[in-house]
Amino acid sequence: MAERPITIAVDAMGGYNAPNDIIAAVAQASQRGDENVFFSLVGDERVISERLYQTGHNPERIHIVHADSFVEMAEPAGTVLSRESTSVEMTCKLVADGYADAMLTAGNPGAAVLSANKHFSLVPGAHRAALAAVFPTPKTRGPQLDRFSLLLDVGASLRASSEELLDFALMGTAYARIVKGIDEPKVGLLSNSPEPTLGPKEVVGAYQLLQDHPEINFQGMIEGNHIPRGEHDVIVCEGYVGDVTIKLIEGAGDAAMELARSAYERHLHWRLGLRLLSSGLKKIKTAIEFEEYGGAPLLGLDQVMILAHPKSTSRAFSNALRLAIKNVRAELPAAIAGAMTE
Amino acid sequence: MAKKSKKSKEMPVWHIFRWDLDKTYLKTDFDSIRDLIKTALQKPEDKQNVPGAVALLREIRREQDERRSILTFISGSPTQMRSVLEKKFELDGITPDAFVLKPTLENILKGRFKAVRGQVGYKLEALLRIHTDTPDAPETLFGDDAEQDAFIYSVYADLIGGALDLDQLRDILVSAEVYASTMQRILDYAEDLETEGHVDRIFINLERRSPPGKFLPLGPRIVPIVNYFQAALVFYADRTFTAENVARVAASMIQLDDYGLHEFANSFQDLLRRRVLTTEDVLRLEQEVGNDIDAAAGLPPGFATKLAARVRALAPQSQSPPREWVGPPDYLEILEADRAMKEAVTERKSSSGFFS
Repeated sequence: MAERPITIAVDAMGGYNAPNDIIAAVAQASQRGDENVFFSLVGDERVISERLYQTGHNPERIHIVHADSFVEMAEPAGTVLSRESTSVEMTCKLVADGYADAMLTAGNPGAAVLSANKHFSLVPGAHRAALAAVFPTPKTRGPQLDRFSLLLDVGASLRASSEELLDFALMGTAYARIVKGIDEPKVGLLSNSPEPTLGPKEVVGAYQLLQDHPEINFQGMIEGNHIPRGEHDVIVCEGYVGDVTIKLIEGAGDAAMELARSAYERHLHWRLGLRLLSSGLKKIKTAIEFEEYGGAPLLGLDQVMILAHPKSTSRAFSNALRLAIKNVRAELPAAIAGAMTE
Repeated sequence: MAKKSKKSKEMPVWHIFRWDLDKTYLKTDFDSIRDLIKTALQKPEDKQNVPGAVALLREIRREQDERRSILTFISGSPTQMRSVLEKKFELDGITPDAFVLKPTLENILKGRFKAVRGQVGYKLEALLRIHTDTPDAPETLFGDDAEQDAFIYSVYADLIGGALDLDQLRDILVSAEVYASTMQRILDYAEDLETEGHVDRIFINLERRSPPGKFLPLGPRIVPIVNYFQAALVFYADRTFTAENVARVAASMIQLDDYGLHEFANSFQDLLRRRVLTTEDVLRLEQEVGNDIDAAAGLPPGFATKLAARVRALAPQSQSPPREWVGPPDYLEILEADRAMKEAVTERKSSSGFFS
C-alpha cells in the first residue's frame, strides 16, 4: 500500500552554497525514491524558477513558495524576528500551518532555531529542544550496522540544566530507538572527569537523574577521549560543549586527510603506498565526511526540523532530505513526545 | 485494425495529431539489450501506457462541431511489431488513421546501420510522406526527450510552414548524416509541398526529465511536459479543450495512475511559472469547474474546486520577464552542440581512487 503523501519544506536560500546546490539536491530527489514525497522550495521565486528551468527535475513533486528575503549567514540570528517573510521563517510557517510535514535548512542556524521557537511548540514534557548530530565511529550498532553515534545538544542553546540534560538523554534514546532501530541505546554523559561527583553542578545533577531513570540505559560519565571510540550510542552534553565537540571531530577528519595528501606529495614510496591504499582511504573519507549524514534534527519540537551543515553541497543536502523523510515517516515528534511522558 | 466509417472519413478535419509511440504513448525501456528483448517479447496486454496518454487521445478524437480529428503514429519500433502494437491500440480503444513503423530489418540487411539507430531521416521522411495524404488542418505533434523528436518535429514544422528552403534542408540532412537515398526522397517530398501547413504546438514528454530549458533554442512552439494533464491544460488555454475535457483526463489519471491533488497542482504551477499558462487561464478554469464537472468526468466529489483553490494559492507571485527567443532555430548549430555533448559524455571518465 502506498504511504501517505508528505511534503518537505526546504529553505532554498540558506547556506553558503545556496540556492544552486539546494535546488540541485531537491531536483534530484524529485526524480527518485518515494513518489509520495513532495517538496516546497521556499525563496526567491524568480531565482528558483530559472534554476529549475535549467535543471532536470520532476515538477509534479516540486512547488515554489516565494519569500521576499533571506537571512545571510553572517547576520545576527535575531534578524529573523524583525524582518517579515524571510525564507527560513516562511519554511517553518509552511510546516506550522500544515502545508508541509518537515522543514530543512542549511542557513543561519541561530535564525533557524529562533524561527522554530516562534512557529513550533515543544512536545509535552520537554523543557528545551536539542540539536542532535551524528558522528562516525569504528563500532557498528543496531540492525542497520550503523557506524554513527548521536551527540546532543550541539548548539540549539548554550547552557542546559540537569533536567534539560535528562530531557536530551530521553530524546536521544527515543531517536536512536526509532530511527536507528537500537533497542537499548547506551547513553553517556560528557564531562571532564569519569567521577560522578566531579564536573559542573548541572552535569553532576544530571548524573543522578540519569542514573535513576528506568527508561535510560545510562553508562555513566564519559570524557572527550571516549567520544571517537563509539562505545556509546547517545552522548549528552550542553549546547556550547556539543557545538565545539562536533566541529572538532569534523576538523580532525579533514586534518587527517590533509596529512595523507601532504605525505603523498613528499616521497615516491609514500606515494606508492598511499596509491595502494587509495580505495580504502576513500571509504574512510566517505565515512567521516559530514556530507554523508547531511543534517542534524532539532529534537523535542512538535514538528520535524533538520538543520543541514551550512557548507552543504548538493550531496550533503540530498542526505539531509533523506533524513527528513525518514524522520517524518517514523513520526518522530509523536514518538519523542511518548518517550517524554512515559 | 478497425476502420473508421465512410461517413466519419468524409467529415471535415478540425485538427491533425501526430504521435510518437515509445516513451510518448507507451512506457518503453530500450536503454539496454535486455530492455529491447523484453519489449520485443511483451504481449499487447502487458504493455504499459504513459499516464494519461489514452485519456488525452480519447479527448482529442472526439468530434468537434461535426468535424473530426486525424491521428497518426510514427514509431521507431520495427515493422515486425505491427500486429502486437495494433492489438494494443485495439485494447486501448484507439484507432489511428495511419501507423508507420521503421523498416529496421531491411536497414540491417542492406547494411544501413546508421539508419538503424538514426531517427532524423526515417521520421522526417515518414512525416512528409503522410503529410501529403492528409487534408489542410492545423497540426499538433507529440514526442519525447529520449531521441531527437523535438528537433525532427521542428524541422518538419518549419518545412510545411515554409520557413525552411531546400538548400537549408539539404544542409541539415547532411549534418545529420542521413543516407543519400533517404535524403533525396525527403527533398522530393519537400519540393512537392503544395500548401503551407501549420504546426501549433510540439509537446515533448520529458520521460528522461531533461531540463525544460534545453528545448528553448527550438523556440516557444515546443512545450516540454511531464504528464498529459499538462497537455490537456495547454489545450484548455488554447481553447481546444473545455474544462470537462481536462477533468476527464485528470479523472483517468487518478483512477489508473494514482495521481492526486499534489501532482496536478504542482503540474499546473510548473506551466504557470514557465508562462505556458496565464493566471487568466486559472481564473477561467476556476469559474468553469464545480461539482457538475466532478460528476460528469468521474472525479472525486469536490476535487476540481479543491484543485483550483490550491492552484490559485500556489500561483507565482514574482515572475521573471518572459524569455526572449530570437528565431528561427539554428538547426546546424543545434546538431553540432548535440554531437559535442554526446562526445563529452563518452569521454568523461570518473576518477576511481582517492589520489587519482
